[in-house]
Amino acid sequence: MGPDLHSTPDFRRGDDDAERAQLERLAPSLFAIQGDEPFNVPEHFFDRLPHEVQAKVLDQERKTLAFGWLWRIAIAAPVAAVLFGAWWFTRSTPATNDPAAITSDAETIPAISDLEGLEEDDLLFAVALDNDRSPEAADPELTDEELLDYLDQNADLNELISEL
Amino acid sequence: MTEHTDKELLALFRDERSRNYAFNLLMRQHQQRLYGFVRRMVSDPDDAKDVLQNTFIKAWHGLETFREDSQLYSWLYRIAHNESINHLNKMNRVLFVSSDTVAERLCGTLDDSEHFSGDAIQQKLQRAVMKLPTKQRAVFIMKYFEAKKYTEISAITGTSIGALKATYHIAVKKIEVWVVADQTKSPT
Repeated sequence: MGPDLHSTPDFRRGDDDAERAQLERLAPSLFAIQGDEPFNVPEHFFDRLPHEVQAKVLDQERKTLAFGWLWRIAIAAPVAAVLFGAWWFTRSTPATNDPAAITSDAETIPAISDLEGLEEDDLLFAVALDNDRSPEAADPELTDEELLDYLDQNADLNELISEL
Repeated sequence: MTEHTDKELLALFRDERSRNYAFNLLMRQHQQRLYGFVRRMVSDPDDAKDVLQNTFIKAWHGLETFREDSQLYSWLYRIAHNESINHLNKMNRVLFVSSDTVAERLCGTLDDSEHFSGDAIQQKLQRAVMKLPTKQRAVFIMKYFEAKKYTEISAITGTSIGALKATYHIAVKKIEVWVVADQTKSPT
């Protein structure tokens, strides 16, 4: 059993004479009740209470802090997801004003489709031709005059005959 | 225990390094008197402990912004008063029973000598007090058991002095009737 609630004298009925007289007149049975404080306090109650209260306060503050962060994350995460989604779906492909880039795409697609159905040898031959291409090969047609000028300047008839 | 003034306690509390120490001092200084009121209000020691703990937890959160135009004890008492009434109202709501049934349940510990050492007439008195509506009960306890001035009770309850006098008068008459009736039924 712990200590009594009050170690001070009986508080009842106060120290106001007028109030005491009024109470005696109004409620004589109540006025006549005497006695010490009847409530007992559990053992060590007042020693433990401050520690229990402070532990609860700390616990509450920890929870509030954790809940505060969770609350912020709970709001921030969906907002970030929505913003990312909006950026992802509305982003445009890189724009270009270079006509060469546009036409090269347009020409490449039919060229690739042209290659379909060709044998491997045909492809290798086409690649070899492409590599050997020179300005002359690109346009082998010469006029008669150009041919005669060339022969006049460079060709030795005897050598040509010997080659034949 | 050395009593500290409100100013000293508040100065210590407002310093982050001594906050816990200050609050510990504050509790040790006021807990017994507050417990006396709360215990009479709810009667049950476990309920009294819950109410007192909530009182101090609320005080911890409110002390930072406490205005020094009233005494710390009156301020704490006001919180304890409100917490007691809230606790009793909550019990009525949660248990879906009348306030008389709640009072009867709370009076259960009066038969236990571990918790109550009063004689038969004191037990009758406490049972009669528990029959009062919560606000009347609070006023009766503050006036009859603690001999508080009406001005002080008015500051705690937020009720006018005239209304408090009327409330106390009604409560006293009710208790007198119940105590006398009980004595007539089973004289001790």
